[in-house]
Amino acid sequence: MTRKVPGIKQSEIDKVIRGPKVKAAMMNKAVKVQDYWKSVSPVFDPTDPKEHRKNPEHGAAGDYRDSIVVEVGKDAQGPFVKVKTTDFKRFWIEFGTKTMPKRAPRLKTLARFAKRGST
Amino acid sequence: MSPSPITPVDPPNDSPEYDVEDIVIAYLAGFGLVPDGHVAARIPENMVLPWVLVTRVAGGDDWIVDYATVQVDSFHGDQTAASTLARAVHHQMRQMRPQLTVELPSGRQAKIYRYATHQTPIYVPWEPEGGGLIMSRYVGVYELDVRLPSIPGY
Repeated sequence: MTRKVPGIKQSEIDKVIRGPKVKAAMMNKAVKVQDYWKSVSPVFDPTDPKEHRKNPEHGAAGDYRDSIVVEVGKDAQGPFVKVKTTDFKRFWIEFGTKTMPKRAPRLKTLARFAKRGST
Repeated sequence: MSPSPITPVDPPNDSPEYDVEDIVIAYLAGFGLVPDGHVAARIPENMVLPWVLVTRVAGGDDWIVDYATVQVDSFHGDQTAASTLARAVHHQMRQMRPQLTVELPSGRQAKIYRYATHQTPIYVPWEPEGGGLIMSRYVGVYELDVRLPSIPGY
């Protein structure tokens, strides 16, 4: 006689993890992260006389903010969602340059959602 | 007479809170990695290389701990020298162990609760448009949790 092992089977856990509820929760969180990241992103104002970026201009106003997207994918460990920016100015805005103050919107977003404190 | 732009100015002794930038500057200045006054929170007009720039870029606090994200830029005349300086800075930053006490120029002492490297130093151009490259920069990002001064009730 085989004794039945109590508890939840791994296959049942896997089934729930790959199910629609978890996917919906992941998307919900990703959209929150995306919204916050956009809210702390700088937007170029061509009418501002102090704005250095108009000489020369680097794309249209809001390009960086609008490039922040939620990517849905799947890899060897299963499905994932990723919030990312693809704008070419992302390193300049994040870390600053001679003419652009460091804004660090990505780090601000991480600090907000990394649960280190009540940021 | 106003102080020279590269002379570090002590925070007022009666400041009720710590500035994490001041803590990192006071900590790094003690190792002699760069000449006196060349670790600062701003870049002056007449900057002389090498230079280490400390900037708080993110993080909030609660009633007890300040959760700071700090960016440390290491500037030097060429990429190799900037990298070497950035590694020296990083080597000291990695030793900010929990319970480490840092003495500020004002004589106050700040205690580190937690340290984590968010980004080991990477090369990020300071003048992305080119046009007369005068210095190279490496950027490291660190998470520092610092015990805040006590407030009544906590």
